[in-house]
This record gives sequence, structure tokens and C-alpha cells, in this order.
Amino acid sequence: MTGKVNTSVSIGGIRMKNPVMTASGTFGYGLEFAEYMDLNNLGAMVTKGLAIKPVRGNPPQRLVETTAGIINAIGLQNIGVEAFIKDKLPKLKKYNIPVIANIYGTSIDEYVAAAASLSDTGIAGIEVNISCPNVKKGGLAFAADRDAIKGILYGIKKVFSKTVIMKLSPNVGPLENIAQYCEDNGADALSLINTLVGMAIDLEKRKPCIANIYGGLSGPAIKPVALAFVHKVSKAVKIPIIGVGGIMNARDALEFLTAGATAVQLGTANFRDPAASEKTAKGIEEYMIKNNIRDIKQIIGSLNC
Amino acid sequence: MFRDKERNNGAAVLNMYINNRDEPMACPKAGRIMRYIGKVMKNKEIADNIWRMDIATGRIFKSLPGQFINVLVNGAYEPFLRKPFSICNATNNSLTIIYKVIGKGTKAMTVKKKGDRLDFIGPLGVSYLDFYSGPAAQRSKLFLIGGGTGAASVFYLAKYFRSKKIKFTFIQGARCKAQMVAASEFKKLGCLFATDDGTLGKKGFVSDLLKDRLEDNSIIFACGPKPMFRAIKAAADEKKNIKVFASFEEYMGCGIGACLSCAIEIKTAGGSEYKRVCKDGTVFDLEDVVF
Repeated sequence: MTGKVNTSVSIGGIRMKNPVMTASGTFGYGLEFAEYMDLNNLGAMVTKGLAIKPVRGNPPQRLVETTAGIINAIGLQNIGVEAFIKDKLPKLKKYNIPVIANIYGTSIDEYVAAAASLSDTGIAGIEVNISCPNVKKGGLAFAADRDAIKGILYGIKKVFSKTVIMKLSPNVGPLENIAQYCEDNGADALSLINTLVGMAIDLEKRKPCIANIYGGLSGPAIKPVALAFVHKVSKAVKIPIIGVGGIMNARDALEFLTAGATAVQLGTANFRDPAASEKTAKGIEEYMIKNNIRDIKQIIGSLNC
Repeated sequence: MFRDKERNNGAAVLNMYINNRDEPMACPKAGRIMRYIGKVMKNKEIADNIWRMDIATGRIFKSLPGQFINVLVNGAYEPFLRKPFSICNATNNSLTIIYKVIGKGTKAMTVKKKGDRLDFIGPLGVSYLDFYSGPAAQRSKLFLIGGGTGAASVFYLAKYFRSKKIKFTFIQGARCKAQMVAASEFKKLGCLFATDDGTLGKKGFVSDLLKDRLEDNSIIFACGPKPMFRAIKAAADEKKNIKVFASFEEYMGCGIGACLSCAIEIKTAGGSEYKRVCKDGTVFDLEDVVF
């Protein structure tokens, strides 16, 4: 970033040169995108969800396009924490950006074990997925379970000393109370929202379009829903919020910052334009210069209402 | 499982195929994957619901037979995702795709006119040629088989082998003669035909033609529907040491290996795992694929 405007933000202990991150599950392990953009221009990147052991994922068809978005049920296919640390992380460390590992498990112990493995690896933080709608265990079952949330946070905090972000689900009703509960139990930040449970039907075949029947809806179609969640939760907690849901460009990102998010994540946009996140970061800076805004903090939570 | 309705491996009807493009094929090593802003040179319906688009790539473009491009069809969010198209032929600064109009994406493609810009990423995926190396391969008898919409990439391969003076047997199947209107273009490459109704070539399937000609130690390259692959496999199993390399399709999200949408079940030592059609394929050794 140029010296003209200050776009830097902090999420817990993670200092980022701009508020633009990539959303878990839409950016692979980051390296897939190095062909199309300079990863150094991101605020931070979030990996595909990692489990303690490699995960096979759901049978195809796993994804389908819908109006202004997609529905996916990949089933959290991943190479596992160990392979990530050995094969991917050394390559990611060559870039000058914080790497955040998204983790999930099917039990509290698995979450904690994944976090423990990532401790002292150079990872800047972990984002804890307690909100995947596409796996039977873990995922949504934990999204509104206070005992599970407390157990996960307590366990992770004991083995992982850096920033812990909780990624919340919009599928369990209002999030203010869960957000507060996460804050009270040591979460450093919150990401919201994960995908909305959705369905698409092939009328001719009278079958669901994806093998898992239900999947997670993402893309511009969910942006207004995400904005409302971010705005409401930002009033309920003091910890930073990372806004995610249908952000395609700088303008969308700025709306989330205005609503109260400290940073944003681009997800589905990466599939249409692999350089969307880099363009968004540049676009935010251009907007600030054009509107004579010196510091991005002047935008965060600046909604007039 | 459902097939991706928007995915086009070209079509069996390579009508009026690029008569004037006999310049040497692209370099044997594919170029770097990039995002291109190309220009539509020609976009024409060459048969019922079958279109051909010639694209000027703007920058140097080096592809190999079996690779594809991922096209951002329009700037609005309908359709939302990029659409993959097999490359049917290419030079260093132009390429051709053949597509069948099926869904929103391909319908939107037909509206594009000469001079319109075209945002695409490529060349993506592995090439058939990645499976064609070593003296053993080069001594083998080669079969190139396209079925239905699988013609485009196999045609590209046939052109490549012809330019290298490598002999092959080329077999193309379709439902009927009307869906194989580029018969004369295929014939120039020595193609044999099979149609379901017998209106062109042999009445029956490509596998019937294959059975009569297949010899031990042959290599087959194929693109088409899964039932065709099964029939080819059955024919191959009757001979010794046949290798079949086939281009698969599965619904893609990103086309660049990140989203893990286009999963294909591949055998491993201990069982199987899901690989990505877009990045690990689209061409796979048929022996490795779990049907």
C-alpha cells in the first residue's frame, strides 16, 4: 500500500496491511492462486479447512450454480494438518502475509489436536469452523452448542497461544448471544457468516442437484443476510468481526466495514475472478484516496443509523 | 451422478472446421496458465445448436490437445461461474472452441459477436500427450476415439499426430449423420464413423469399430460420455496390455484446482480418493478411475 492512506487493521494479534482476506474453502491452500495475483497484496489468507487427519469429502456432484451464487457440499475434503505443515506451509511462508489455518473436527478433542499441531509452526492464527453445514459430525452440530464452544475454545487456548477466530453459522438463528459467549470464553475475533443451508433441484430428473441434497449457499445472493448479521453482532461484542458473505469487489467490502466489520473475506468471488481479492484491496485504497479518508478506521462501523 | 450441463467438450459436428489452418501445431510444452482478455474473431452456428467460436488470444497462447479454457461468459452474475470449454485447435495467438447450446452459459455465448472481448483462463488441465512418451508408447498402435460432444479435444490430438506424421486410427461416434456434419473434415484425417441409426458409417457404437481393429499393446485416447468409456474398456479387456487415456468431465466451480467441486474417484493402493478433474485431469488413465 502507498503511504497516502492507512489501510492496516488488526485482528487479535494479527496485524494486516489491509482488511482483505480470503475465505476458507475458496482459496485452496493459497498457492493455486499465485498464478493470477500477488499474494503479498492481501491482508491475510485463510486456508482450506484442515482436520487432524485427511478427509475424503463428499461424492460428486458437489457444487451447483444458482441465481447470483453457488451451492456447495464439498464435505471438507482436505489433506490434513500434518501434510499441510509439511507440504504447503513452507511455500506459503515465502509470502509476506499472515497465514491463518482454518480447522475443524468431529469432536472437541480433534479440534484441540489440530490446533496443537499448528502451534509454533509460524501460523498467525487459527479460524475455528464450528459452522459447516455439509458434514454430519462437528460442523453445524456445534454451532449453537455452548458446552462444545466452551470446550473447543478452552482446549485450543491451552495449546495454541496466537489468535483464535471463531467462524459462526447463520443457520442457527440470531447470533448475538453465541457471539458474546465466544467473546466471554476467550475468542479473539469472529468470522461471520458461513454459508446458508440451501438446495437446488433438477426438475426434469426430480432429483437434488447435488449428491448431498443440501449444501451451503454463497455468493452475492447472501450478501444482504451477511451484512445484517455483521451489523447486529458488531453491536453485541467488542472483539473484531471479519465480515464474509457475497463480497465481490471493493464496494461490497466497504459496505461490510461500514456495517462494523474490521476485516472482510472474499470467498465465492475467487471462483469467478482468481484475482478478486487483490483487486478488492486495491479498490479500497483507491476509494479512500478519492474520498480523502486517511485511515480505514474512519470507515469501520461508521454506519449512520 | 449428474453431468455438468454447461460443460462442453466441443461437439461431434466440427462443421467447416478451420480449413485454412494448416500451420504447425502449438509447441509440445504448454505455456503458463494465465488470464487472457481475448477477442472473438468468429462465432457461428455450424449445425443445429452447435456453435464454433474462433478467439484471438491477444497474448502468446500455447496449449496442447486435451487442455481447456475457462470462460467468464458475462459481467453479470447470470451465469455466475466461468464455463469450461475444450480447446479444439490452437495456434500461438488464436484458438477455437466448439460448443453445444445447453444452458444459460452456452446460450449467452451465442450472443457474442466479432470484436467482443472474451475473458478466459488457460490453458488448463493436463494433455493427452502427457501420457504419450517413451519408446514403448511410440511403438504402439494408436486409437483416437471421440463420442458425442467429445470430438473437439480428440480432433485437436488427431491434428497434432498428423502434423508429426504419427499414424493413428481415428473413430468418431454420434447419434446420426446430421450430428456429424463435419464428416468431410474428419475424413481428411482418415476418420471412421459409427452412428446409432446407421445414417453414417457403421450402425452401432465406436466400440464395435474398435473391437475389429484393436491389437495387443495399443494405446487409446478417448473423450466422450461415460458409457462409451465402459464400452471401450470392455473391448480393451479382450486384448493384452491396452492403455486407455480418457478425458472426463465433472461440474467445475473454479477450474483452477481450488474449490474441489469436480471430484473424480481414483484408485489408490489402499482404496480410493477424490482427485480434481480440472487440475489432476481432465485426462486420466482409465485403469485408475472408479466407475
